Amino acid sequence: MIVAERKPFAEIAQAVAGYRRVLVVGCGTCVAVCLAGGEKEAGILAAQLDLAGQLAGRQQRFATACVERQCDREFLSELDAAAREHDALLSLACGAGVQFLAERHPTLPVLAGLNTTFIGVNQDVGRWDERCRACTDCLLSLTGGVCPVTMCPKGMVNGPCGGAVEGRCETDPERDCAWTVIHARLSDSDRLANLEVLVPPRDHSRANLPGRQAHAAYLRRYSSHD
Amino acid sequence: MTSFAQAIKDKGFVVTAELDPPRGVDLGPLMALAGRIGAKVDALVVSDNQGANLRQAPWWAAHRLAETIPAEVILTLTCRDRNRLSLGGDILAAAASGVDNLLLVSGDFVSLGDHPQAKPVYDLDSVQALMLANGLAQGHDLNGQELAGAPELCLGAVLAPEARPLAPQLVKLRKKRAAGAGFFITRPLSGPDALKTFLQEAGELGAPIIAGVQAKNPEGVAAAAEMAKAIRAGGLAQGLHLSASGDPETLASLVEACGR
Amino acid sequence: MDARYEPKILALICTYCTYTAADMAGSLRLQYPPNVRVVKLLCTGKVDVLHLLAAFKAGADAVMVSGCEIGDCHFLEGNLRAKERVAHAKELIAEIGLEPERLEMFHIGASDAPQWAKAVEMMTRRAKELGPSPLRKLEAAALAAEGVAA
Ligand code: SF4
Ligand code: SF4
Repeated sequence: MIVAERKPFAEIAQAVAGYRRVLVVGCGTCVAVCLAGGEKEAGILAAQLDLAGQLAGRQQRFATACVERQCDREFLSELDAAAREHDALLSLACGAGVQFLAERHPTLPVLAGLNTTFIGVNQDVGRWDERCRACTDCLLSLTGGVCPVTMCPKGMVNGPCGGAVEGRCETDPERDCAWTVIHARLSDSDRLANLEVLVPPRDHSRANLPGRQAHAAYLRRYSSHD
Repeated sequence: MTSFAQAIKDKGFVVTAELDPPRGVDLGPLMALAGRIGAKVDALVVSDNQGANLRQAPWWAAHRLAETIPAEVILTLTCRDRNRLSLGGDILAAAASGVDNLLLVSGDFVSLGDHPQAKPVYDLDSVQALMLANGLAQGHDLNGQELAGAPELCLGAVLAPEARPLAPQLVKLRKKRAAGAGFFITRPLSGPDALKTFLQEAGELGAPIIAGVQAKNPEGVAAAAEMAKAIRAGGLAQGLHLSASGDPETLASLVEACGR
Repeated sequence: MDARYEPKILALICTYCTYTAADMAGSLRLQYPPNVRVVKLLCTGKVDVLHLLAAFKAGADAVMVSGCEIGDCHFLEGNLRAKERVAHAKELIAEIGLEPERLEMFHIGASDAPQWAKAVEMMTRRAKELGPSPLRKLEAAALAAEGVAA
């Protein structure tokens, strides 16, 4: 899932300060699960902004809405009518959702209430850890299911750097060196031979440009009519 | 074969010393120190933003040293601060300026230095950087495209004999060899025994090891010299790499004690 | 500070423990400040961050949430959840510039009537020290502007 966190309150308050009627738009998927931008968080933020606006003597009104996913047109369309009643939209989606909402309402200021942080996993209630950098060329089959691009700060793909201390990363003694974990995992699953593969320099050409992909079925159905 | 590669081969035992470029424009003190120790070592290794701290780019000092000092010069290049275009370009420029010995390293992470906010590059890892340099020496870039004139290069890599667990380090070591590392410089050692243990566990490397001996201050010189002697007497390495945490006087006395 | 200022305090309390204590305080004729308005809940686990913010919006000078003692919740952990939410809401009101001390969590057992009286006294004293909530003042000013007596 995509993990995000709410921006500092002062930054949000400043961003919305100039607008009278603001719609706080939550997103019901990833950011709801990571307790940053779901229906609940939209309600709380609107209540906070409302009180803060009142304290600052501003005439502002904050309403809330929440859609299933802001990264899908189908769900964004539900907001069209409400959006027209407001001077600004404050989106609590990940960066992708904010952009899609902004694209749909080009004449309205669409503001971001969250900082999108990473693609990660749910470790425990209220705790998330990064696991993937969306590098477009997954190495996990080779590296024992441990991502060297993400879990090694240097993204070393051919083995550890010289800085590991007692199996911990040189950047942080609290973290395992990714390569210690990779080695252990491959050893446990009897795949140490994987490590002898000399991984060539990564082809960044795809990741360098804004990603775009189409499903084969989509192409079959639609490209012939283009 | 570059003359440093030749020296390792012919002499059987070499001594190198590490110099850090200045945190400013004046190369004077570095040149003066090099002048004092240059005749007592086989090669001077110029560090590259040592410890992820901003310093003058190493190619300038390396070039000036190659012009004026009788010792060989080894240029350190980190993957931390350069992508493959920049690494390749720097290697070609270094070779053109008379510096053909390279120490290719991943580089200490940015969070350890004086610009923790920097974006680290690591487009290549140290194995891939060796592949790149090795390719250039054979007249082509990483994509196999031909160069107009190939540099002659001697490639070195870093070795961490005391890192534990050792097994992942050995994997990397084999790959560095396969990618063209002709010599290994170790991280500063805690003692000769650490190297002995490593050699027992690692077996034959197929490339000379230059053992890192560091004195952190003038008081540490005697112990470091002692260690150097033991390493040499024990036949544990094919050379010594002397460093002194950036203190010129300490380095000068360490070279005095252990140099040729 | 206006000497006539009497704080308005909202108390969200659970029926099983604190409300019973408050009830008993009445039967025992214990004296405590009349500033508190009690809302009885089945369990403080029902208290939501949004309720706490709404209380300040409505002009409360202070808000107290009081549930059973730790380990004694009739619904096992409702009071623990309330405790977490009060802590969270304190951060939220601090962010907008309201004193977090205006909000507090208490744990008062069913038989502890004197404890309830003490808690109300403490909160009333604190609210007096802090002065009227700036939100309440604004509310009053708005009403006055509309010609309604506050
Ligand atoms: S290698 Fe790592 S960053 Fe790349 S796709 Fe796989 S998990 Fe993601
Ligand atoms: S210690 Fe391990 S995880 Fe940390 S940077 Fe080096 S190789 Fe990567």
